Amino acid sequence: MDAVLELRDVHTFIGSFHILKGVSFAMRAGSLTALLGRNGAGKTTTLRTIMGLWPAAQGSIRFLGEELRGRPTHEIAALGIGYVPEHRAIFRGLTVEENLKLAERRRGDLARRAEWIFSLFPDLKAALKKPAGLLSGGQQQMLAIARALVPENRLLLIDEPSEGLAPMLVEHVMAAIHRLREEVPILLVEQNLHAIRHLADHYILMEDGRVVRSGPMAELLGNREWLQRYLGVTA
Amino acid sequence: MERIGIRQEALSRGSVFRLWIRRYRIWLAGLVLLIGLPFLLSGIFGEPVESGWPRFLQGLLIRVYLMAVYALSYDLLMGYTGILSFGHALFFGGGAYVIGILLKHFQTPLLVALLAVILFALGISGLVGALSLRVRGVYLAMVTLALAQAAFILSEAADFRQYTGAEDGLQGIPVPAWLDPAEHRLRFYYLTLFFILGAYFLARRLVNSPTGRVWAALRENEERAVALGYSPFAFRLLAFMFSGMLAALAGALNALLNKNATPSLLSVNTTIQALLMTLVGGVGTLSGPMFGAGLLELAGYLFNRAFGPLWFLLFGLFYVIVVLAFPHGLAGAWQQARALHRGPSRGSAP
Repeated sequence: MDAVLELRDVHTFIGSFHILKGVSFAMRAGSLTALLGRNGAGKTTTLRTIMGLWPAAQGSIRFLGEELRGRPTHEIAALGIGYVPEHRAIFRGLTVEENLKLAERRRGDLARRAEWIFSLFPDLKAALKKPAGLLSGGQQQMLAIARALVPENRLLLIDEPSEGLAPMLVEHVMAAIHRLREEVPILLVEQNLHAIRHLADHYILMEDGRVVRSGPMAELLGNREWLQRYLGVTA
Repeated sequence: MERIGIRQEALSRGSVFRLWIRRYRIWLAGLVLLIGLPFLLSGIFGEPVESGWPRFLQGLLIRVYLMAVYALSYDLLMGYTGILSFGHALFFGGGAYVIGILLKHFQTPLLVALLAVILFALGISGLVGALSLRVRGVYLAMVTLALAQAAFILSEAADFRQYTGAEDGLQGIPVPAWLDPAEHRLRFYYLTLFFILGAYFLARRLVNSPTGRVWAALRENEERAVALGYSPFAFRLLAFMFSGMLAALAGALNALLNKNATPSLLSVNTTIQALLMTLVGGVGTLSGPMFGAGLLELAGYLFNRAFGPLWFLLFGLFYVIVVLAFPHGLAGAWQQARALHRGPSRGSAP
């Protein structure tokens, strides 16, 4: 299988709390995979563990054949993994342009990809010189995603991009993600199933720090019992 | 010029020059004032420029310039990278001792000695950074304090008296005749003026560079910066080394000015001085701590003259009043006043 990312029996502890209890899954190239589950299932911890922000105590995390476990976060990012954390993780004290420039891995990354990035998020072009802290919530989220697009990443990890956004803005952000999926594989954590039902190719369902099901998105959407049981929603 | 999709019209050289002059007119006026100040003072006091009050005030200004660079170097650490170091005196005092020992005991040419100070500063700040940057916050402050105190104790140790002068300090550092501040105060004044300008523009260039942006990002949120692929250790170490180099050069010139290097230069008081100047001037502004250094040095002198033995107590009260009146420092107060004068911000929240 042409896996971009493969986790095998990953365990993560935060202090004395055992959060990930043997997470295993593989993510294929050219796909958008939704990482789903109720609050506290371990979705965010999974992304943070992949990035090395919370180190895995056991198991293996392979990205395009390279082992990530044990590497520092900046090295993992430099391998070509763009991470968009939850809570619109921008640098509020810097301007929009500085935020974007900061994401350059090589000189000129931004200039090369600016046209494409601004075609996805036109609002940002008009606000280049503005302090990022003064942007609206939706614009901040767009900036957080745009920043991950500046270098040529080979995988994007996006954590709850719709969190706290008005429905119209959610649509805008999701439309941008929809266009992105053709460029780069995406692992997307999202609580809002409605927002991603037509977006994701595959799903991974988590419960209590473990992967309980995975497969094509259509399979999950067609199974009312699983939707109710694992996500508490009706189709 | 194409900058991230925005094409800018090319400007003629003349227009660029005029824009540059307009943009920096206050700084240029300040520079002209500082260059002409010794002669202005000479005119005010009606005395020759190299004697009497003009000469004395040049000495005071030299001290202000050196402390300003020292404060600026501390602001690079505290204000731009969020590192709270309690061992900054190690670099200032270290620079003073290195140049003193080389000039006095090894008759090293001045330029070679200054180069040695730079190498020493890069080495020692790299070492201190490598040891202390493995921990954060108060622990980092304690590690830097411990290392600086070790140097302080070493400077007082009788075992090295022949080199350091132990608790008496290294006295009578020979300064080349052409630069001797006792003989050529005006020359030394211009040397330190050149030094402060060079240090400021180098530091300004660095904080406005991509490296400076990473420092700002690390200060604001280290985790986010790391997730973008930046090694916090490498970037903070760079800040430590650049800051250490500036502080050591300021210390070396201070040793040339006073012709001595004493253990007090390595003491925690010298670090606290940098901290106070930075707080009074405005953290994270570069120019603020330099003005803070000027204010505290000049006010210290005036208080000493006016109140005799009581000056230290009253100076402490003065410091408290300044901090209460300007909680964001002098530069912060200036920026707020300018923003109010300009009216509502162009970048207001949507």
